[in-house]
Amino acid sequence: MAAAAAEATIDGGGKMIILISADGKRFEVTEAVASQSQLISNMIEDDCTENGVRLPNVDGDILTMVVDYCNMHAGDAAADGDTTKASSTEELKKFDAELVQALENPVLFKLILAANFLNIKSLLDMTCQRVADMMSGKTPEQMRETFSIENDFTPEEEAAIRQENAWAFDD
Amino acid sequence: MTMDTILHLVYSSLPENPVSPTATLSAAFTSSSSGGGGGGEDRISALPDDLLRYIVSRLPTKDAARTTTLSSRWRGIWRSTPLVLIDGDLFPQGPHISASGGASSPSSIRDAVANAVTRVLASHPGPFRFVGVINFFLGQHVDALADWLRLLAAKGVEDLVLVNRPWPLDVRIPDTILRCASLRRLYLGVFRFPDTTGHPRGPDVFPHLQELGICHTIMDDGDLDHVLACCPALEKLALVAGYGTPSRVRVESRHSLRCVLLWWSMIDELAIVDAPCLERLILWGTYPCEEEPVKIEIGYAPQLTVLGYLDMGIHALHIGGMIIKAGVTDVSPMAKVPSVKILGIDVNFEARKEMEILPSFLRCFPNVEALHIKYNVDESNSELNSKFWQEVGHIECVESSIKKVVFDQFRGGANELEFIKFILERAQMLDKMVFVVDPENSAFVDQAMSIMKSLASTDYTSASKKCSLMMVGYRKGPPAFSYMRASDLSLSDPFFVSKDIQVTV
Repeated sequence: MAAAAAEATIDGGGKMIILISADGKRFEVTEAVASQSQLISNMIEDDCTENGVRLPNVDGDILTMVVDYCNMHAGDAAADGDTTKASSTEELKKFDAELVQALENPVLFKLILAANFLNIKSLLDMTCQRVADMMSGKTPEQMRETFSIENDFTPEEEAAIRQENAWAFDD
Repeated sequence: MTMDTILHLVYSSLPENPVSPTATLSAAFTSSSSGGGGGGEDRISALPDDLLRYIVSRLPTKDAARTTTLSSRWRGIWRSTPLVLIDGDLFPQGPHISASGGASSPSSIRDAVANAVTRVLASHPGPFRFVGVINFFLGQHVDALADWLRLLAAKGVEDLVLVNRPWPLDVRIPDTILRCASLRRLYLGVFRFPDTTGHPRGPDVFPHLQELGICHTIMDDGDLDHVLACCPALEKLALVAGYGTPSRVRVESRHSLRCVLLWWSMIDELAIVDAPCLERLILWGTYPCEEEPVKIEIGYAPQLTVLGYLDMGIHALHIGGMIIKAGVTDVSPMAKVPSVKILGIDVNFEARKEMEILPSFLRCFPNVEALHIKYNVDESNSELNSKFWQEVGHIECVESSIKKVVFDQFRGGANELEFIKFILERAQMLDKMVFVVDPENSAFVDQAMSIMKSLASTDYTSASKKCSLMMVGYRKGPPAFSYMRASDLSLSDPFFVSKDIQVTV
């Protein structure tokens, strides 16, 4: 007991919990790290994380990214004040920017689904923003090409829809 | 102030667009398939509708509407996503022109874009999450403006930013604005506010409005009173670049109000009569309509924590029904605001009158922990008795609560130094004194350095022993204290700006 308590103190986040991915990979994280997921935070409150948290729709490789992200952002919620955090905020921004820039289809969409399922708002915001960035300034044809979207409209249907919002297509 | 300065003030006070302005930088289309598919599987369309809407809500206005033609899966997403309409996105130069960029377009283009705004508002079923129309000379689009307001009221706008480009200055905003019951935030710039006479008054008019910004807009005192009485949820009230209308602002029975800002505004009187939740009162660049001082009255505001900058030369402070005058050593408990922890003072150390009233002002705030002094230089210099500060009596906040004093624009003048010594001698709780200097003025930096060393080596009473003296330089770039900082309630001390720390003695 004493050893466990000491270990928990070092991690600074209290108790450890185990996350289990769809393919059976296990991740040990502090409660503080895991609670960035609103879903897990609720489970911790309801005291049902004892035997590990099974995440049947999150693959191990995606969960690795989620855990990295949460480890990196664990200090976020706790710290406050105007000055002391400046450097770590910069680091975080850099970490986020690199993470999000490296994301490609289809990992990006798996991560969006995981962030949505786990209810981690900041990660969901960031990944959806990445998709929006990949779409903005593009013509519909370019958007389709970027995401392999199949155009199932007839030319007549598409022309009619364009006509409805002609202001969006006038350049 | 020139019209350009005024417009700059107005534009820099507007809420940020919800759609990131950096978007196109990373999205400029390149032939490389970075992040792209091309022959891959369509994974994006596999996302649930809610997530597609979440993505579409982050797109510039035109791009968002273009998604309707992607495929049948996407057909209805834009219409079912609360609308974000930013007029700048509709100008043909590209979606991310500067705040006022559209105004420089030829009038034929502005006509076409005004028409497009009408069509967007007409074709989207609502609700409208954010509508920002700031690029038009609305005097030339009065009919369009009327259509917009009608559509905004009918379909439910939550966040509305409307600015008229002058001239003229007195384009009347249609009174339909008083029927936009879904508003949560409203900023109006360079209009004439409608006459509220005969309009319904009460909490059902703007039941959700939390933030109201009236920027360089002609509005009668009575109309502002009317609007305030219609906003039971109002948290933030800002008057920006006001020019004397309204001239008297009374905040009464505003039980939700947390922050009031007077930002570069001409005004006769601001009275916080009854604001039980008010945390912050920001006064920045207020000036009187006439020669009289600006009356700042603080009544019932038991949560008021951040106050400033009180201008020793311009503001007449009334607290608890009493006028705060120079030379009062025994301030009545009624005239004290014990909740204030962070106080900004704007003072000219060379003006005797301002020096003489400063102790009285400080006595009204017995629990200040952070004192920010802004040195305001003007010509009205007059001699101060050199023993003035030595003879000043007890000042509660200085002696028992002040922990930090910041001298913004430190100049090292004789009266300023006397005041600094006074603080160092008396302040028992002081642990930090910060001198902000211009880092480019190396001669003065040296002088300030030797002043600090001399202060540090002098043996003041117990206080100075644990107090550190710090010199910091301005950071280049936009002014550090901004409307955004002032109005950001998540910052505990909006006046404190972390600058590059240079030297600690």
